[in-house]
Amino acid sequence: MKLKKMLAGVLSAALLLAGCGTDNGGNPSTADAPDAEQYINTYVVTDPTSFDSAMATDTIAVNMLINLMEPLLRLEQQADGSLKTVEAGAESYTHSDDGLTWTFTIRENKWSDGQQVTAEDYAYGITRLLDPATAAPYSYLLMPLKNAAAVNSGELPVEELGVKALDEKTLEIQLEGPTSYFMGLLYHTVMLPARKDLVEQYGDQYGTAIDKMAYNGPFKAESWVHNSEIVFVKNDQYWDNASVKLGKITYKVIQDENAVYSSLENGSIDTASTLSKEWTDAFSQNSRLVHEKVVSANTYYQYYNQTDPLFANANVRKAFTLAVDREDLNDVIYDGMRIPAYSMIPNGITSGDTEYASIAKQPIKTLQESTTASPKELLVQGLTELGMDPDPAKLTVTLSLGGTDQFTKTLAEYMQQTYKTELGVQVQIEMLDWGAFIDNYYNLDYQIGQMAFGAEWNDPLSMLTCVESSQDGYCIGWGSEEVDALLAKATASSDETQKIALIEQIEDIFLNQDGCVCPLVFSASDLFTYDYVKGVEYATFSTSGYKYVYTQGRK
Amino acid sequence: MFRYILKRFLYMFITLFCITAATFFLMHSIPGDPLSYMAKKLPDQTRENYYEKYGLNESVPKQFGIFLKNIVTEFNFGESIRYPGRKVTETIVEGAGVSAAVGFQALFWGVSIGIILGVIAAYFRNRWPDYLIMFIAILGVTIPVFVFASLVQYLFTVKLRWFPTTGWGSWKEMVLPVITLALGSIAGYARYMKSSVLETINQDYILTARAKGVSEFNILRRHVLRNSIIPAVTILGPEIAAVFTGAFVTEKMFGIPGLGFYYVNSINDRDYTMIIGTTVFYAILFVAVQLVVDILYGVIDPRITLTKQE
Repeated sequence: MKLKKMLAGVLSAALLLAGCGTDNGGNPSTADAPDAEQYINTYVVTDPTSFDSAMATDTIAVNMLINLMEPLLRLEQQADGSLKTVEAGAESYTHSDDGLTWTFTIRENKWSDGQQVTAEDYAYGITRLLDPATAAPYSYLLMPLKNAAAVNSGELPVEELGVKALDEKTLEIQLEGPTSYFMGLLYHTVMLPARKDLVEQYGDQYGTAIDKMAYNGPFKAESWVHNSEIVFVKNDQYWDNASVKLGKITYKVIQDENAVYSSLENGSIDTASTLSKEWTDAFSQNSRLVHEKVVSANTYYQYYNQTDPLFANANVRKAFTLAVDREDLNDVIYDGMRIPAYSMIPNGITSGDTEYASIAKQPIKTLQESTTASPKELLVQGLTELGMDPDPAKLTVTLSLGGTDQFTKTLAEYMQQTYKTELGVQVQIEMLDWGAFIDNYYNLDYQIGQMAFGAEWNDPLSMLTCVESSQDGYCIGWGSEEVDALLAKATASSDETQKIALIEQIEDIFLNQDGCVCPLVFSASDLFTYDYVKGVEYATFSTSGYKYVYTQGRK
Repeated sequence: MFRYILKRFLYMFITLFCITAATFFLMHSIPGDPLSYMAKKLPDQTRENYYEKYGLNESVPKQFGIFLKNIVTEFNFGESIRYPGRKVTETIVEGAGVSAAVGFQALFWGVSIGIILGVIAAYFRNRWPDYLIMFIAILGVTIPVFVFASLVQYLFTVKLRWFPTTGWGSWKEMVLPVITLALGSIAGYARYMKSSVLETINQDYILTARAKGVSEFNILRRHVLRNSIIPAVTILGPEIAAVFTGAFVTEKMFGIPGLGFYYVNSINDRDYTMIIGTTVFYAILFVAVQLVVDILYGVIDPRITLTKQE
């Protein structure tokens, strides 16, 4: 999921995930039956941008849309904790043997205003995202669709897009080529339906106010006081409303951390997420709060500009990568609250139904094990190869960070100290406001930088498709024909085992052999929820939202 | 007088134009754009479509021209880029209303209590009421707002549970932010008033009044207060303007949907339309209030004249 300002330990990431969560198994409930009045109070740190799925790119809006709209499929957590893709807006689906044509039978479902949900609604929602006039920031996620690029650039009319409603209940999607991660997009917000009549009526205002939209998911928006409170109520028109137990969800907009924790303490919200050890320790003392470590699909990493004369050399890059002790970084900077990262692909991302991180090789460990030289020796070797002065003490490099707060400063000083000790080099720190920082990043105007990269959809490839040389999505000035070929193969692969092996190979080249980027930590947060809240799914990509949540024993 | 006001109005428009132009060009010259928050290199096509939709593909002077035209012809500041569908003017009116509801109460209590305390401190100079009031005033000036707000919040919402922690809508939710905001004003006005009253009560005309047998209360009301309130009025002007623009920290801590949020976040989000809208709004308030204060001087103290005497 994409976040605003992914930097600085992805401070907000976890907070925003406060709405996701697992069964509180093991906690005895105080009553035998669910409470008579079913509601939940939670919070968000800022307003969602819009409920229009074409314009909603922030995590808050995305997490809310899961509750308001019905995607074709949902990824749900099973009783044993595993994840399973289940039919939602589509009642069944098939795809051709070559994987190019997907046919969905749309379920009998109604919009909150009573209108029938049709295949046309889904087709329109998807097409609208690629219409250049919509200017949807997430349009690029739909590039696997047939003619998507040409439609998005205006070369072909939108009618040429490979998305068609064959009849009232049949949706057909054609792909440009076989795409192994297409399933991951089916429960993403980019594939949500939209109401053509309402979009035409409200234009750009569609979805920006709660009454300028219709909902076909488990809940519908009832009120929205900007920057204050958003209320959802159960959508009685929803096809599976028998499974929906909550009558009301209240999202309070609370920007201030302390106010969030005070609200949790006095029970005005039922759940809160924290990144700090201090609060984790405090809340752990409260026996009514259930503690869950929630992984969010973000990797905090360091990257090197290969158009820079110094970092053009792989040994120099590897030296900087090897000099970092990820366990120590996690302990010192993050109070041990994150997960040390030895790969770019965070825990929680699944390929098929298997968590990638649990079975795949970790390229940074491979690098550490295969390198006999010390980081400093490697650096000297690199400098010699470059024909530069081999004395690291005479070397000064600049580390760029996007943020000017105290946390970023501490992190920068930690890195400075690490490189001074391990490599003997001087590190200059450049702390910039986010906009300026990201501008330098796009323009390859930096030496070393650090930020977070988040997975947009649930597939290990979501972290890697953009390394393709024509995109250079990591903005590092690197490309490899070998990797391009491997990526194409992994994207087209229909065999999970083969796909995972290919991804391992890509990561091996990207991180181990070429040392392009240096993963540091995966983001994770500590979520505390009152024990009367049941049925929450904590898995990173679970898209059930509040559909199955209920309370039992609320006082 | 009429000519003076007319002249001031003319100056006001020149000032506003300069502020608008400076803000517009400055904000377009800072690196980053409204898509920066995506934190990822977007394909050129996506960026192009987006720029075209918001008119960001035009040159900055041309964008400025369009912007000015919209303001002059229909007083339209456009829509927020970050929050699509939110009209800038509507958002400002909405947010300023909320901010003002809290801010005016805080200012009312702050000024009233501050002035009373300041007078008491001056009259009881170097005795315990003076020390106590000045102690409170110094606390009020030195304790950062977020510290005081956290303390108040913890005490009244977690320990005592008298008031809700955050929220907006009922009087209960206003109490704590008003207390938080008023503390600073109380401290400020108490200190200003004390020094100002001290200066006044040592004037000869007070002695004369006393010699004439005017009662202490009338001396205070008619001579002391009137002569010592000018500094307070001077700082009151900008404070009234600031009431509408909101107090970022306090609003953030108590979850008040005021305008403060937009002043800070629109810049971080590179929400161009919102930045310029909020800035122009503040500029208008500020120059207008300055004018009112200047006119008020003449009302309070007839010795101050606004136009050169012929």
